[in-house]
Order: sequence, then C-alpha cells, then structure tokens
Amino acid sequence: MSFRSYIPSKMKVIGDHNADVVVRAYAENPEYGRGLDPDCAEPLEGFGTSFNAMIPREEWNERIEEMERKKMRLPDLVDDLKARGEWDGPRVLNQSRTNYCWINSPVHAVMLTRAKQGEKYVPLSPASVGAKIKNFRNVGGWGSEGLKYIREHGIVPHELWPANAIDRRYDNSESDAARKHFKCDEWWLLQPRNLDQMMSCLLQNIPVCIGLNWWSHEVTAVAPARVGENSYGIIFDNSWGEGYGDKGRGLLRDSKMLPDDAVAPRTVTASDWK
Amino acid sequence: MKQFINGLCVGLLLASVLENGLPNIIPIPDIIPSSAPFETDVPRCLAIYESGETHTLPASKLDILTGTKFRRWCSENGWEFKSWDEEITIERADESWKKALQVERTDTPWLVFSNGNTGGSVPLPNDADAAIELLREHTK
Repeated sequence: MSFRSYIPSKMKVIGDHNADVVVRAYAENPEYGRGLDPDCAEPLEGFGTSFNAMIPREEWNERIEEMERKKMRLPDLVDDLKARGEWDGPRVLNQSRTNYCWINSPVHAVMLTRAKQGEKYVPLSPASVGAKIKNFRNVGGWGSEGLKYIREHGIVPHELWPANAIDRRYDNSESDAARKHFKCDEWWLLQPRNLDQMMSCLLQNIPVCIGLNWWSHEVTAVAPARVGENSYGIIFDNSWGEGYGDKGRGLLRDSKMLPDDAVAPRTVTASDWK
Repeated sequence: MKQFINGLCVGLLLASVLENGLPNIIPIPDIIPSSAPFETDVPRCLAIYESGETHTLPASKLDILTGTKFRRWCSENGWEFKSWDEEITIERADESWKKALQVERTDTPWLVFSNGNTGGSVPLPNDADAAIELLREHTK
C-alpha cells in the first residue's frame, strides 16, 4: 500500500465536502476572528521576486514521505523546539476577536523562519504591523501587504506591543527601534491558485501565507501532505490558538487549499534580540 | 624509462627494509584537527545556503538545514546551530556569527564550525548523520 500522510484525529480536515459547514460554523462566532476582506485592497501584484524554485510533481511523493519519516517539517521543528524548551510559547498565534488574520499569518511565518534559521524564540506582535498599515483600524487585509510592510519596517516584539493591541500607545520610539530586528529579507510572491508553487515551497520548508476567499480568512501553510494516491493536502497553522484542531493546526485539501493570495518569506534578518 | 626508475626505487626501498628493518614512522592520527575557522567562546556551527536554490537539494541535505535531527544533536551536545541564507542581513547579529558567515568558502550549501580551538569549513555533508559525525570529532 502506498504511503499516506499521518493525520492526527484531532486535526480539522477541510475540503470540498465540508467547507460550507466550516464557514457557517465559524462565521457567527465572534471568538474566531477572520479578516480577509474582499472589499479591501486587492492582493499586491509585482511585489517581491517571482517564484522560480519548482519541485516537479514526480518528486512529491518521495519527498513528502521522507520529510514525514525524518520529522523534518516545520510543525516537527516547532514541536521539537517546544519539547526542548526553546520555543517558549504557543505553537500558533491567536488573533482573538481582531480582523487581523491577514497579518497574523505573515508574522507567524516570520517566527517560523526565525526558528528555522536558529534564531532565538521571540514572540512577535501582529497588531504592531496591522495597526500601522490600517491606521489603527480593526479591518481586513491581505498577507502580501502585511509582508511588504514587514520587509520595509519589521515587527515589534510582544513585550513592547501586545499581540492584539490596536492601540497608538505602543507606537513609540522604543517599539520603532525594536522592529528593525525583525524584518523579512527575502520572499516570493506566488501565483494565485497555483498548487505547484505552494507545494514546492512547503517541500523546501518555506511557510506560505495563504489568503482564502471562500473562508474570508488567511492561514499559514506549513507542510505538505499526501492524502490519496495522487492527491495532496496542506497542513496549516491557524491563528485561533492551540485549542483549534490539532495544537492549532488543520489540513486543507481539494480546491479549498488553493490560495487567492500567497506570499512565502524565505529569509529574515539575523538578530540576537536580548 | 619511467618504469625502470619506479622499479629501481621499489628495489632500493625493499633492500633497505631487509637490511635495517622497518623504519620508525611517526604515527599519524586518524583525524588531523584543523585550526578554528572563526573565533568563538562556545561551539558554534553555521550552515550557509542560497534560499532561492534549495529546490535543487535532496531532502537529506535539506534535513540538515531545516530539519530536527541535526539541530537536536547540536543542542544536546553543546553546539549552537544556525542556518542562514548567504545574503542574510547580519548587522544585528552576534560578532562571532558574523565571522562564521565570512569564512572563505567556494560554494553553497556549506558548513562552517568551530569549538574555539578546532573546527572545519566544508561543503554541506550529504545528510544529518554525516554532519553529526563531522562535529562529533570536535566535541569536547
């Protein structure tokens, strides 16, 4: 029997068969903020460098199996760091009641990239970016505009700007100096609804911030999965805390995993933040 | 002519051994420690790669750069480990890591490591086990 990815029983699996149920279940619950607003600005075009690192489909099955067997995927890395006390916080972010999913995802992706690079765990504040972009309004946006700001200005650590504080009090010279330590150096802007590009990133352990119009939500794709003979899915980190799914993670498949906006940070500033 | 000279040399060597016994040869250790490629107070290992090219690497090499096995071994054996793009912004990084990134290399991906006294600067090994063996020789 050919290899299938291990899907923990608690993991939320969302595909064409149940997406409408998922949307209805969370739409009315204010505890689960979202914030991908189709009425706001369109995803950025021409931002970042074009993707040019494709891994051909004939390699996918073998690579997915090896990554899973050797525990070399991003969720494995975070779990391992957490077990050793080197990831001293929740595995995923929690946007709470804000409409800031679109900025939680890029900030989380930067934190994952820092872990991958061997930088010390520093919890970072999505509100320190989202509030600046949206002039301190609690409104939707796109991951690509969030990453563009992070590229130019950086993110403030949680200790200087609480994660969900859309509040001008924290916008000061100290937080402004701190954010320079947490910039994105290099990234790719992926083509919308391009599975091959997204899977190629995940097979290289590059997280992808994906905006999903059907869900009005943005999450972070963190690992590839094989769910059938030639059928694939993506494991994602949500921004609804560790109580969601399996330690905050879920799995998207079918047409529901195809992003309408997708950016992939590859490198972040090296910084020994004390 | 060349064969004649080679034969003559072998003959002379054999005659010398028969007459004087085996010469006293200074034993050579299995591993010749190389000097530390960069200064550091604690053992440090830096993997250097081009983040736009990792699609060309086999998963076994990617495992060193981003996986858990090698970095867990480093953590448990007193090595600090980082995995950096060769063009990463380093102005806010520790001086020792900056020096590690500046060690001369001829290619990427690359591995440079130092325990303060010995170390190495080599092309990235083929897998996590090979990288662990490399560092084990320099672990106190």
